[in-house]
Amino acid sequence: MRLIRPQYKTLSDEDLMIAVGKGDQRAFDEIYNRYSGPLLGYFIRMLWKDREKAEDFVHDIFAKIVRKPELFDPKRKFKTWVYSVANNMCKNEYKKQEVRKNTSNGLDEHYAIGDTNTDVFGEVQDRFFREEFEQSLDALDTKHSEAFKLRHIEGFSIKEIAEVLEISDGTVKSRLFYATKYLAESLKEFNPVMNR
Amino acid sequence: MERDVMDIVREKEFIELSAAERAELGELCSSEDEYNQVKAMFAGISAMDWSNPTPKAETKESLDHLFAQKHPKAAPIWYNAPLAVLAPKGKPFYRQPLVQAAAVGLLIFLAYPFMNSDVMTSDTAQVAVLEKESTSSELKEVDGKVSDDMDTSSKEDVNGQDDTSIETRSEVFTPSEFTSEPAKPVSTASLTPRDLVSAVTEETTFRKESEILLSSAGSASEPGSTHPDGIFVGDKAEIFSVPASREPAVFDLLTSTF
Repeated sequence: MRLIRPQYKTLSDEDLMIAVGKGDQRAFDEIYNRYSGPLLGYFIRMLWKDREKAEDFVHDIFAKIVRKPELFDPKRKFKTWVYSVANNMCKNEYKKQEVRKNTSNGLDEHYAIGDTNTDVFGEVQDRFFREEFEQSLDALDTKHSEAFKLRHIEGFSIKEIAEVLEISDGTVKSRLFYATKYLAESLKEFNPVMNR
Repeated sequence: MERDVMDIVREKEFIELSAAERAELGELCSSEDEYNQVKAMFAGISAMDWSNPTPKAETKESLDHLFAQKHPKAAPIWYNAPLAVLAPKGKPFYRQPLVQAAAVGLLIFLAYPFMNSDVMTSDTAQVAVLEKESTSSELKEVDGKVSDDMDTSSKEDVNGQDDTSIETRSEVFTPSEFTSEPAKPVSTASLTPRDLVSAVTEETTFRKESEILLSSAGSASEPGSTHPDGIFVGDKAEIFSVPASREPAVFDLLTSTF
């Protein structure tokens, strides 16, 4: 019997993973609470807004954690490790599908619009910008778009992106530079913020 | 977080850029219009809601089931139910009833010898006081008895004798009479020889009886023979009292008689 119950919320991801490896259900619950949402959003963005597929991928990645927790090296950061696994899953899916699926016709039903502005014109502009931005991202090369998504949507640092994608920092910067230039060019005719 | 050119674009206006920053951004945006275009794009991305959706509950249930298969718990056993009450997992160990009860039991166990030693000491002291009191009271009783017996026997003896023997005894045992008053001369001339012989015999008998009484008083106070219902055995010269329990034969005789 454990005498002192650990405070799971204060434990690091790496400590939680060690506990998961020992069969601690509460540690697994905490890891799931921390990463299930972000991973689901990541998969939705990476897998053509296909929520069902993204849910399946979330299930699969956590199933891997349950079945083989020893695959995680505690010396590494869990966040970059789990996103690198997720990224590899997406790459495998790309290979399977071969052709990207473009489902961004119309408004995205999975995202709530956070802007509470009652200005209808501004709201519509934002929605159009979002559609245009996502279409441009989808049109962008995968290696560039994934770097850009990790940097500007997931909020990773350049070093973390380098660990997730298993590339150098310089390569990350180069890809980000290319993606930024491409998107800026694509959205040249569409400038919702500046038009407000 | 490491800064890159995007952070510069987000934070500064074009006119605020230093020469070094303009050189760094040269390939990305050479003019102010291009710079503003990139800046607007980042602002638009930041303005979008990128909050993450919540996975379905079925996903978690399925994972919990998988986790239970991977890490099966021990089969339920009969003492799990009371153990859940006595030692709930949710509480810290010092708040679990089982631990608290054990702590109280340990305290009692440790404190018991100290409490018991006080009781024993007081009991022993009380017993010693009682024994002392009883011994002294018995001694007093014995002394009183002896003195009473002495008085009674002397009175009885005196009453049982004739006038001649009384006179003779007073001559022998009352030294005060010798000192305070001069002894009256016995008029032996009026006594016959038979009377003289009988007087001497009486005197000897009285002395023996007195000695026997004194010795019996001494034997009554000897240790182990303080039983009030003791019976007298032996010849007259060595008479002493003993508890009936020490003489099984006599004890059986007494019980069979009564």
